[in-house]
Amino acid sequence: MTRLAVENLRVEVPGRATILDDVTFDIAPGEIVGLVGESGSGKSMTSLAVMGILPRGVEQTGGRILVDGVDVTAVPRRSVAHRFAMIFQNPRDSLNPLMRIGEQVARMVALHQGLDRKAARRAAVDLLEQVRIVSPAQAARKYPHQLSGGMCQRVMIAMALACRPRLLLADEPTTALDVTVQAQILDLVVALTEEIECGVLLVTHDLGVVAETCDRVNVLNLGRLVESGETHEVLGNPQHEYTRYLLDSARELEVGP
Amino acid sequence: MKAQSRRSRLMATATALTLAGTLALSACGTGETSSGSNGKKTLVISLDSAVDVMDPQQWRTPASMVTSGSLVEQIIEQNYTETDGVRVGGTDFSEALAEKWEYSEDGKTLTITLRDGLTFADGSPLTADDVVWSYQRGLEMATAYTKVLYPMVGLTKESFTVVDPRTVQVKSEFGTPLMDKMLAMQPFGVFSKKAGEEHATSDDPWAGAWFREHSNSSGPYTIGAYDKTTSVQLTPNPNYYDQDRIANGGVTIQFISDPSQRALLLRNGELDVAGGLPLDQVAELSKVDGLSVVSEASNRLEYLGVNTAKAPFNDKRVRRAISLALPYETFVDEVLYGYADPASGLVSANMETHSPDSAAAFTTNLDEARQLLSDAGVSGFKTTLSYKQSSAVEARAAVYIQSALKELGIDVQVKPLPDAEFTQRTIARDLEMYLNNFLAWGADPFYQMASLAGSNAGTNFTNYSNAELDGLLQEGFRSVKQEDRDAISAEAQALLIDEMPTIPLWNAKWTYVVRDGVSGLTKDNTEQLRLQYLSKK
Amino acid sequence: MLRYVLRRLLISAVTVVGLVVVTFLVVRVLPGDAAAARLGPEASQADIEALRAQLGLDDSLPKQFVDYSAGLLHGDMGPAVSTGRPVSDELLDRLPATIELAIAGLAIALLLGFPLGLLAAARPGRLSDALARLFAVLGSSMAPIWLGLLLIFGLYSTWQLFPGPVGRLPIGTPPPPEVTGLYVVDSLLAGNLTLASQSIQFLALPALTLGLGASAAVLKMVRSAVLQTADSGFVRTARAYGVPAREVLLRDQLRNAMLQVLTAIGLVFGFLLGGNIIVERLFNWPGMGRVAYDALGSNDLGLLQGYALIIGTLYILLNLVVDLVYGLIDPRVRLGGSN
Repeated sequence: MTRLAVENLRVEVPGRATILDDVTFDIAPGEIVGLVGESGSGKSMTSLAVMGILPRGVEQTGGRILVDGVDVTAVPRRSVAHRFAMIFQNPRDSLNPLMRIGEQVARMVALHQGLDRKAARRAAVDLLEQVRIVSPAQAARKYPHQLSGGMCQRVMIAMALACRPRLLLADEPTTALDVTVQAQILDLVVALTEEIECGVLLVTHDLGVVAETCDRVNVLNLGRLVESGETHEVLGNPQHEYTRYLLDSARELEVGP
Repeated sequence: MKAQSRRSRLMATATALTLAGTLALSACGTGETSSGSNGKKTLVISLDSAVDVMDPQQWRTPASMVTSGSLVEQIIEQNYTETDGVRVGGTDFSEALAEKWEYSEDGKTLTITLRDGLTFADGSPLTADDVVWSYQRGLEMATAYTKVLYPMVGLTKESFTVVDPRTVQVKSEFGTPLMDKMLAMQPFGVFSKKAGEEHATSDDPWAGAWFREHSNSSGPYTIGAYDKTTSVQLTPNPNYYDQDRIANGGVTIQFISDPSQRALLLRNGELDVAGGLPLDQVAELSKVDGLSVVSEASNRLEYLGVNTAKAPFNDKRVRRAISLALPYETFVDEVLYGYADPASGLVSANMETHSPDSAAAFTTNLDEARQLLSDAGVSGFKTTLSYKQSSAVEARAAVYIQSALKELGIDVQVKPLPDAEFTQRTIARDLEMYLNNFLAWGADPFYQMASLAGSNAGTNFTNYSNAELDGLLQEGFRSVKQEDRDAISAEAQALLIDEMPTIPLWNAKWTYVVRDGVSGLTKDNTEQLRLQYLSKK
Repeated sequence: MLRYVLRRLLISAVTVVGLVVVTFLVVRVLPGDAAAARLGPEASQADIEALRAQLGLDDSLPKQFVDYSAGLLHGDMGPAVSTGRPVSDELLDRLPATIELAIAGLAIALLLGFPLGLLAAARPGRLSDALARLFAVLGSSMAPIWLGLLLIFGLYSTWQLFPGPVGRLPIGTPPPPEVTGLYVVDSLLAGNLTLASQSIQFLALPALTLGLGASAAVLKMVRSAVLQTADSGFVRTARAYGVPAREVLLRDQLRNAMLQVLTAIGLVFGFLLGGNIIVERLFNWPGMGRVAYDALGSNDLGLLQGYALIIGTLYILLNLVVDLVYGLIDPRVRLGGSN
């Protein structure tokens, strides 16, 4: 069963602007699917729409979003919230600065796994270990500002795991991190995806990341899906000129002037 | 979301319940009457100021004068005539602390014999030593107000002698009826020399600092509870020389700074007597059941002062012209809501030796005024009119004066000044035109005229100086026989109308509002209350 | 954290010194001769000059300042020109009354403003938000004197619900034995419930007058601080992970908004401390504000300076406390060392 099926998704600011127009794609269990485009292409909005946390003033006006076959827009959010998790671009900003990270993870554990406080705390430490944080019990007592960006992202991933999600949405998860750390995080994501068989939607503008991790990729331009397919095919033999344009720009950055 | 608003609603309800419960715990107090230790009812009054100084020779506010005055008694006291529950002091006197007091033939030597067995509140005996010490203090203490009065009755440092423990001799350079008037004033009450010497220091040989806050009373009251910011409670002095004179069980003076609040509290039964109320509110309160207005003629004179050293005010024709342009009746009716008497000279209508025909000089006659101005060669000019910012009455009057003088082509700029600055500038004598008021203690015409128009008088802010007037007034001070006094005073008053160094405007009445059942308001010759006579049914 | 504390202490100390200089100078700019005002119109020029010399009013400005500062170090603020008593007595005696009123005003401001602000922020743009904001506009546009008179006229004179503006207690009622100077506290400590309840009743109207206006400010601050957090990353995370909205509001938004709100509350309290001159006069509340008001009329340099200094210092202290509490609450400050 497909983890995620997005059908003809339409998102707009009513009366003003169209952000996403007739977007359709899907993700299978254990699959990592990339969603690329420049800023303003609507890729972040896609993940927010799937999560159901569109900002104020922005609405989904058409199409369906199905997670494990259930139309998540047609039922109360709370009943399906446990099915997905999301990690964001600025991991430190995504964490509550006044709460210890162990507490924050434990909170998600308690919410999604129904454990009591003590058990949730222990589970949280386990999760921290699972995301390869060294000395997880000590780390649990720290505050977000005391951790590096990479560590924070690991914590976010731990929180995501706590939900035992069917679907993981990752919005530019490594963009704000050092290059060395990026690779570690991506490896982690890949490893965990295999372990728990969730689907991953990886939203990014970085084609290198896509090449490394994604099985399939969708290209988004100004709210429309212009190309989609197996990663090596799309990147190796782009059909749409926009895709080619993205590849060219990426290559320029790599090679340099 | 709903839960959150539920919570705030719950909080609001809880708060309301707590408040209600607190209210239920005790009733809101309205003026409950209680009795003093002597079985008589106590009163709560509020005056136009707070009490901060307990020394009758150093008081700063009128309420302080009343309070400090209750802590001392004088050798003699005025006789009062009573009408409708109000007692007004006259020009006769009776013994108070003195058993007798006698003048020599030439009127220059006074012998005072004290009663037997007098004591202060602490039980120590009150003797001639204390009397002499008190009189010296009033002259020699640096901060005593009273020192300006001594020269007016010819008293000096050498005037006072102790003849024996019960006898004091006072020698003046000349005889004058003003002497009795002064000795009966509260600042001439008797202090305890013993207390004074105990608390004197080398910088402060008369214990000025101690008496500002404490007392050893020779008067009808002692200080009970005293909170400088709220109230002072006066309780009857069991060692007072005549317990029967104290008609109440004690008086609490509550300090309410806002006069409108004072009126409100009086109306709602929290006060028995209120003074210093705005006159428009007095007019309204007079219609309220259960309250009545006490309003007596007063010698407090409101005047329009001018700088006689500066042109064009140095020309008496200009001054007289101004006085002929002013709307005297309007002041009484519109500015003072009827609670005043129109001007009739520097000597007011009910002061002794007042010339009955001087009132005629204070009318409005614009033609004559214009004629005088043109005689003086003055066509139109600009000037400023200043007054104390805090005075609402003067502010209103200033507007009327401004429009009245416009008729003469005089362009008046109205300039209220902060109180302290006004005081400073009047003392510096550099204001052109200003509104001010003055009360002569003792209700003495010569004191009144000298203070306002005598050369070098501290309260003559006009720079006016006239040797002829000074001579007349000196004569007046020293004359004892009534017909002499009448004649000299008449001449002085006529001179003042001709010269018009300062223009009298009105005499605002001495006004209090009282609850029904309260009587015994007493107006002595300093126009302050004598609290011991207040009573409540 | 230690460095933070030390820096705050240092800044506060420097500010206090600046305050001393400024109040000293400003007060001397006011016109009017205080010595003349004290002695009254009957006084002779010689007497006035003698008093001026005695009080040092004619000394050079630097010398006056040096004398004053030297005195301050001993806790002596000089004499009040108008009464001769030490300024510290006149003012510090009244300080508890002012503080009690300010605390009560703050309590009302918080009780009203806080929940309403939260309510408004919880559902922005909806009716509850609009009503709350209407309340805020009304509260901040009503001048205290107008509101106070209205309350006196309505709640005291017309409906007899609260006692009249005679001060802190009914006429003739002695205060409780002094421990803190706050009558409510002292009455409770003495076990006198009647007196405590009376103190609260007399406190009610002036506190309401002060508090209603301040509650508008608190409401706005709470609302805006909480709303600001609504757009932050961690709130997005919490919502995304299905944390119930109420928990998000209280645990994530409010806690983080508290930092800002706390600073603002400090400001409000400071404002209440100084701004209650008018309210004190209106209700005959025997606090420092009353003294200052009267001192303006007699141009009493000593009192005015002392008042400005005390209020200013309290304000600085308050801000210091707020900063320190901030430091304790926010782990980024408390533990330092961000990566």
